[in-house]
Amino acid sequence: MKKRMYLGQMDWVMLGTMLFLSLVGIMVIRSAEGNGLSGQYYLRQTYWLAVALVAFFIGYLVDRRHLRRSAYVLYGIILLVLILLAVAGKITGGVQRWIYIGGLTFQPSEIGKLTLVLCLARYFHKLKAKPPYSLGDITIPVLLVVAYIIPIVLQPDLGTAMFMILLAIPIFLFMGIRRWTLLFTMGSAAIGAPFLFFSLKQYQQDRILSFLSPERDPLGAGYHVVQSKIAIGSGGIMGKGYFQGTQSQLRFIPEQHTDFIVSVLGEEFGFVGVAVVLGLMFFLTLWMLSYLGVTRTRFGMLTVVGITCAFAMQVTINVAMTIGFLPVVGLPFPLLSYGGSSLVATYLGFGIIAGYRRRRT
Amino acid sequence: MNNRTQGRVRFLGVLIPLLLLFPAGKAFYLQVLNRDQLHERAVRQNQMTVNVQPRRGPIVDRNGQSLAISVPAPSVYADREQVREIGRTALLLSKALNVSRKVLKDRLSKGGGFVWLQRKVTPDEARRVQELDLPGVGIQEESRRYYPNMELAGSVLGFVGVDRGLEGLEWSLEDQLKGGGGVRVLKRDAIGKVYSPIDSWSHAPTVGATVKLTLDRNIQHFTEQSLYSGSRAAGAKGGAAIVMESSTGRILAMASYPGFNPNEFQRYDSERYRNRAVTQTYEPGSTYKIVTVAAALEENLFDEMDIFFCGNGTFRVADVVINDHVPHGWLTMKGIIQKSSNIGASKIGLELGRERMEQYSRNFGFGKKVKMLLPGEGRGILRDASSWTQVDTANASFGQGLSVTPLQMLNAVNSLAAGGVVMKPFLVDSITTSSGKIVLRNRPQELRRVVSQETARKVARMMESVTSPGGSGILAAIPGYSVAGKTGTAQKFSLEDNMYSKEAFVASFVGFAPAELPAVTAIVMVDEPEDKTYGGVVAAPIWREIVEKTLKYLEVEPSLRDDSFPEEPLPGGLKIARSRPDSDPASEFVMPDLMGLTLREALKSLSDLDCDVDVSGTGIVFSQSPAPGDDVGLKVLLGLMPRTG
Repeated sequence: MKKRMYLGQMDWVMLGTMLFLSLVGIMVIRSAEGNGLSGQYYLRQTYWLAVALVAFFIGYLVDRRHLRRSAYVLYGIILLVLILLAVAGKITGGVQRWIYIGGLTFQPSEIGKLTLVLCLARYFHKLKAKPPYSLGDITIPVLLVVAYIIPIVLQPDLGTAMFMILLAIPIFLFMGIRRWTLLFTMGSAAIGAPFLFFSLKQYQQDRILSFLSPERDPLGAGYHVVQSKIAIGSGGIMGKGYFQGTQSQLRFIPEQHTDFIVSVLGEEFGFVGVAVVLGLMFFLTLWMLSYLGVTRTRFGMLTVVGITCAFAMQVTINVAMTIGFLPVVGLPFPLLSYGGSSLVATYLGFGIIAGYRRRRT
Repeated sequence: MNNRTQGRVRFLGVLIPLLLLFPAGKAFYLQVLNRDQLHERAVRQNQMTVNVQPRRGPIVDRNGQSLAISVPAPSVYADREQVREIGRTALLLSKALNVSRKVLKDRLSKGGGFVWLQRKVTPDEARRVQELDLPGVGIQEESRRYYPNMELAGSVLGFVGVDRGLEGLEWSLEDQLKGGGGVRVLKRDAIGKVYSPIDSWSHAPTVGATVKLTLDRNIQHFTEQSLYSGSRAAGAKGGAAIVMESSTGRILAMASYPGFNPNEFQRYDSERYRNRAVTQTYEPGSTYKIVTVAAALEENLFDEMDIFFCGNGTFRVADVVINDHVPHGWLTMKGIIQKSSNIGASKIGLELGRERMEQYSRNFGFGKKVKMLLPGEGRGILRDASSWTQVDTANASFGQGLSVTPLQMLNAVNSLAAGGVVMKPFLVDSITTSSGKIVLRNRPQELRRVVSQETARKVARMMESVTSPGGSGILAAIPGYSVAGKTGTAQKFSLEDNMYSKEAFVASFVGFAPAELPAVTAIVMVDEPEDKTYGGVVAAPIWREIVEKTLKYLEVEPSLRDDSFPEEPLPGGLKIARSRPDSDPASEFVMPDLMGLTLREALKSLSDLDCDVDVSGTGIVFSQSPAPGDDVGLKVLLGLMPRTG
């Protein structure tokens, strides 16, 4: 009886779709490794998938109240880790994005995306003021976001930092912000952007500049995007076939098992392959939005909105990045890209959403 | 959930799908609308097309023995879009290939894409290049022409330049030999490393056709040996010899002196490439008397026993005096041939008249090319009879005032050996494509009858007297065989002095044996021998050597009707057996066929022979001296070549 209560309402549709996409991802990673790289990324990704499944069930089974109460604590733990990484990075002088657990590396900022959503949901859940909110009402949540961004920028991981901001926006907007507050925030962001740009590292500036005109220097910084476009485009409608992608097998595409996995997918499986994957992601997004009718608390609603929007935005931004619509900033394609942290975080977040249906009856 | 929230949920339900529609739309744009253009760019990046030379077809002798083969030769190329540092690349390659750095630099910096850096290098050089592992530099296996018998038949075979045949049969049979070119599509990766996948042939090359000649390597070998040593001994400027199968017109051997080794053709002056057997035109002199006599007999002007007064050695025609070198007095027609009397020939020729003289000359094949695929063939000079004076007619009757090639002369005389029929001489037996399709097969072909069989037989009998005691060509006599032949000694016409030279002669001997049932017809021409100048002295011994060996090699039955040398026993049958390639293996002095054996195997089969062995190269035997079937001398030379895939 109790068992049925826990697993009987399991969202098999959601989990099945996710698993299918993850398996496609492992398959494409296998091909992206080709015969040259023997990193065995696809095997490691398979182990990570097992970990991610556990994370999904944890998210699914965790008590909503416990989740809500521990939101700040989780936020704090990740913040601490991020600050420690930034400090360690300053000391050793290298890029510090990962922590090492055993032989595996873990990127805390990926989990950070989730804890930020939970933390903001928690904050608005208890906020006494009535929306739309004034500048004073949102000062604390904005600071919560900024507190995450600073150590991440220092890592430096511009992509994830920018994504943290984008991640927060739907939650704010869903709650409602006063018009003038909104304009003020956007205006100060616009003014702050150039300052931010010049505070960036040279290579980061180059990436943004080359994004503006990628063909100008096809072997330089714009190389990635040009190669990615060629790979995707040359795949045509049906693709060149599994392991048959000339551009990916001959290593014209950089980072093809992580950020540029869509290029490999597009080259080997064509428009059909890309359309199937994007179609399933489209379906997953709408499926998760349907949970908004199920959640009964503001915390739950904001969690669903935050996680779903983050997922959809990440899909869009990654593709936009690989085909030259956005600068290459290093954001994985959810579910498919190689990367354990991202995979675990995604499954955990989806598990939390799936958990809301368990509560209904 | 209040209304506002519901509105926002709906808003999200529209916004997020729109968000996801964007990547889908972009994918559609790239993959469906822009596919061709991007695909082309991909191909340009990841592929490199190399035109690969086909492997040239082999040339073999009539027994299938190799005369010209193609051996693997690696070529070095560069893909200039991928070469990183031109200066450094050129420097390293110049060391590895022993090519000037400047040349390589020029080749690397001109234009983009594919370029050959050095064609057909040695395996060592190729390995050194491979070890350098320079980006954009690769090796493509090509083939190089190799003539395993070195000089043998060089002037017939010709040679091949980097891409095509330049001389001889290699030139004239280029289309058949060259084969179909291949196109290879190589892959290259992002850092310029080039891969050659197994299935990289978009169009595989086809090996050229096999050309089988009528030449016999062994006959060719001793024909050359005799011609070369004879010409050298005579201090001659040049020489030519041809051996033909009498009844068919098949050329069994064709030699030109001085020869050259086509493997190193660059080392010779281009004059050396000439195949004098077909390119040299000369005034035939007395050998032409055969034509005069045959015509007169065929026209029933005289009988072979008719006698002519050849006087005291001078004979006046119009304002010119014709000389014999000794006075002959009265001579029969046979005597005119035997003693080679110019006066006698003139009298016959004048009786024959210029029209018939010209007509028979043309029927015998003079004045036009034989057309036997050999480049640079001479036509010879045979003027229209209407312009001939009495003197011209008299001169023509003993072979002056007209010119012929050795091949024309040989073929004309061969018609008497073939019973009065001019055969079409041929050098190519068959051409077979690599897929086994026979595209050409030559069969003996009768061109026309010039004289009756009866006339041919009569002339042959007269020619037989030439090699009998008292004949001018006694040195061409072969013990055991009856020989029909004719000597020729012609002064060369000096264009400088506008008169016949006193020193420059062409000595020749043409004939066939055995006279009563001819097996082979042969000609030897020696150009400008130094002191001994007579055809009977210079050319006849060479001719005898060649024909004697040929007859024995071909196991031609000795003449039974041998009345010239009745006291001599038939020559040793053992010798005949020993000069055959498939002779008794137990025969201990015969060189075995070692081709294709490993060095160890070769040495083992030579171990009983008690001879010094000189080895060059490594791998398997591809050349040997002496040739299979020849006598083993004191020294055996073996050439080895790496075994090919």
